Amino acid sequence: MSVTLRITGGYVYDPEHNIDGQVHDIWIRDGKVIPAPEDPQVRPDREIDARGLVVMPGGVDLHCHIAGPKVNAARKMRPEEKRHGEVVRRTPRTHSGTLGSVPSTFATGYRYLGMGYTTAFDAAIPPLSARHAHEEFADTPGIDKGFFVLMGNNHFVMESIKQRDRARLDAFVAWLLRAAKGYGMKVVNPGGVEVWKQHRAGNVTDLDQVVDYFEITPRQIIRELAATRTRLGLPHPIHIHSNNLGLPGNWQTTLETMRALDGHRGHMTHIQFHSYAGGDVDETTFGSRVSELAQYVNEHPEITVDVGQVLFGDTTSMTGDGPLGYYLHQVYGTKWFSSDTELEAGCGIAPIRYRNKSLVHAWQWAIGLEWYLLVDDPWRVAMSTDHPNGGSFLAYPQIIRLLMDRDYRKDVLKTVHRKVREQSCLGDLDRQYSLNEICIITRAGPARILGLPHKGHLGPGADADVTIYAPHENKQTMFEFPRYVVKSGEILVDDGEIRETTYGKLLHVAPDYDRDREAEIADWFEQYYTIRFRNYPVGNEYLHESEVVSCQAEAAAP
Amino acid sequence: MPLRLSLRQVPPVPLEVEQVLPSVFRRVDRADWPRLEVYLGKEKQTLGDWFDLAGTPDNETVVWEGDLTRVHWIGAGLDTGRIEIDGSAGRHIGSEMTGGEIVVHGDAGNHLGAEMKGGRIVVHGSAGHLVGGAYRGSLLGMRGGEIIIDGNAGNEVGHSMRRGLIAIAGDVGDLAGFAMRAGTIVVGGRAGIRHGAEMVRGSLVYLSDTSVSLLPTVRSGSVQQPVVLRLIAAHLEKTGFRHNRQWGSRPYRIHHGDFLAGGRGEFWIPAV
Repeated sequence: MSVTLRITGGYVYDPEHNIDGQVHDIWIRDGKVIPAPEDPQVRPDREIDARGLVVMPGGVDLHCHIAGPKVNAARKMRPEEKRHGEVVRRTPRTHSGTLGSVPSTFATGYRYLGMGYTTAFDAAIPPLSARHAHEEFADTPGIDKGFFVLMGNNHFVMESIKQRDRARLDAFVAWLLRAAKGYGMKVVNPGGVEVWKQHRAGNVTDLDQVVDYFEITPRQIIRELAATRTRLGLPHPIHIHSNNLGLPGNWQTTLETMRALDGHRGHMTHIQFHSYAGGDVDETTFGSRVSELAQYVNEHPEITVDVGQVLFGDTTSMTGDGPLGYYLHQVYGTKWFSSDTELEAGCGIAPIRYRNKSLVHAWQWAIGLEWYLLVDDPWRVAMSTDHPNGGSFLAYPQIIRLLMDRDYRKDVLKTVHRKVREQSCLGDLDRQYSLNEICIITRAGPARILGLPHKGHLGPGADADVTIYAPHENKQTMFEFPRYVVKSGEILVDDGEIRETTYGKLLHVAPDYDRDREAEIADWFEQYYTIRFRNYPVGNEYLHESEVVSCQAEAAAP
Repeated sequence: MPLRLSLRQVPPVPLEVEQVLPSVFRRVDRADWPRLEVYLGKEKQTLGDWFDLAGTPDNETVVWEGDLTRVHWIGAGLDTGRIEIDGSAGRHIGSEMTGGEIVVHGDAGNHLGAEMKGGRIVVHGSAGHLVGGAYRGSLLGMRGGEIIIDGNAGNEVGHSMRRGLIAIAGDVGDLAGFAMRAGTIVVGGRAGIRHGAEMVRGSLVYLSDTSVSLLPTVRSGSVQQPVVLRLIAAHLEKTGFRHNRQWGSRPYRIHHGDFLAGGRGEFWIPAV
């Protein structure tokens, strides 16, 4: 007989079921939440006494960079960080590892878990390197995970759009997601990376610039792929890193990108990096256009965002946006890594230090917080730092404090560049997040945006991923050190110590497609790729524990 | 009387002693000195396992004795006090030090004074590669202080150096001043190739080599007798540098480079 676990007497936060801090028990069996037995005499086999504690679903991170070639390249590129960085020591149950801005695989898993996060998605994997990502995931214990597949500069995708052959595009996207065992569609600087790869210091500057040879525009790529996603019924909307990331005046590109979706669902990622005023030669015109963009988001329920909050300090920028890496290298004069994944994608990596006295960096910090505070519906704004681009995922508790504690936020605002202090609307925003809202932007919301029906809530049938916190005046302390972390019904963290480690599931999709189209893809492959068609798909041997998330759930909905 | 640390036998694998500094002897009770941590390869051992301790660190002076070529990180992170090494020692001597003085009466290994921020290192023998250099991946090498070497030095001297003075009386290998940001490197003897590659600012001064092989991205300038060289020469003479101050008063031809990195660096080569 399977073992039951009861989490007794905690203040439960489960926004999906409108439970806002009421005391009730959570029953768990076989890794799932089950309804409480009707007979009050039934005793659980194990029990966690949660009286006085806060009970939430496990955290869900829908945008981070924790696996694959770019992450590994960044680790190798920054030995100087590892030299003085904190070391994760080996214990009888856990492996050793290193931290720094790009932690090693095992350390990544342990630290997510230790912070009460039980699910994380890597946001940019070139499908050709999917194997590498799966291998690193196998060494990232504890958490459930998945990744988004880079498609915005894929030659077959762009060729299909050029030919206006939607059936061909749909079949390829579905085949590619299955081949990579990926979870969702990602576009990064659509069209721009291809131009970068063909021209010296090339990029696209707006949504209607034509990508040569393919004779299509970024606008077409976004619209067509968003429509494909709707037709395939993928659980997660298309995940969009817009053109012109980080450039002054890019807010207009962002607005145009949201319009280009044409009513299809879309997730605008690390939108902080895409909300800038300015663009004149004068640096002082740099600023925030969050209010305009947030208003558009508020009025368009098909759009969701994650923030990509910047935190002051040292980190590493890594992106599939090749020209962006070059731009950062030019601005900061630091070392730089660039790569070209043949027919699929690009990549740029550069170290970066965010300084609170820098005008631009202070704006970036303030703009991130403005996003959290100006989107009305917390279900549509997810917490992220675009780890490690804006800061480490380990900074989430600090962001929670900035959102929940207005006085603390205003104190920090006092320490940043004077112009930002004076011009940002942040000082006038009095909104404070409640625990319920924090629960939404860190787990319930991201799970809903990802289309994961078993995550982010504690109703019967949910995955038994539960984080239990001891309430604390300082919300950063509270969220940094959960009292217990339960993952799939197992108590993995007890009082800050990892008690047990598990693999964690790989979450992926397997959309249906027209098999007759495969021959066409195979022909193209044999002609252009460095790898044979039959060797390309990732085999099941790369999966340890896994779950296919259904594509049918909302196939009909836009 | 200084504190003398005498190595009993040559360790079979590298012995790392980075935590043994004059300031530590001030803070820690004498009885605990032999228990200070050292690493033999990956194993944690104690100072007393390898060294006999005698004397007292008067004036914060510590003397290391014996065949120390496999003993690494002597004086790494030194902040105050004086370290003398009687003989040759291994790598990373004075790495990241911020103050104090280290005198080596023998040869030093690679990474001597790497990323140091202040203080002085004097080597009466030769030194290995990356004197005052950056560790792999670091943005900057030496950020201050001075390193004076009587003998020769290896490659990549002053790699990514930001500030400070490195003076080598003898020959210097290849790529001295690679990617250097500022500071001064004095080359007493012959120079290797590709000095000053990717150099942004800073000065490379050659005291005797008149046929330095310069990169094609370095351009020749005028002949000058800059006052600054006279001052550096006078300063070095006081520290016992092998070349007397005469070199500071001779005419030099200045060369500018590296133009791949802006071209604000200087190469001073004796005008003949």
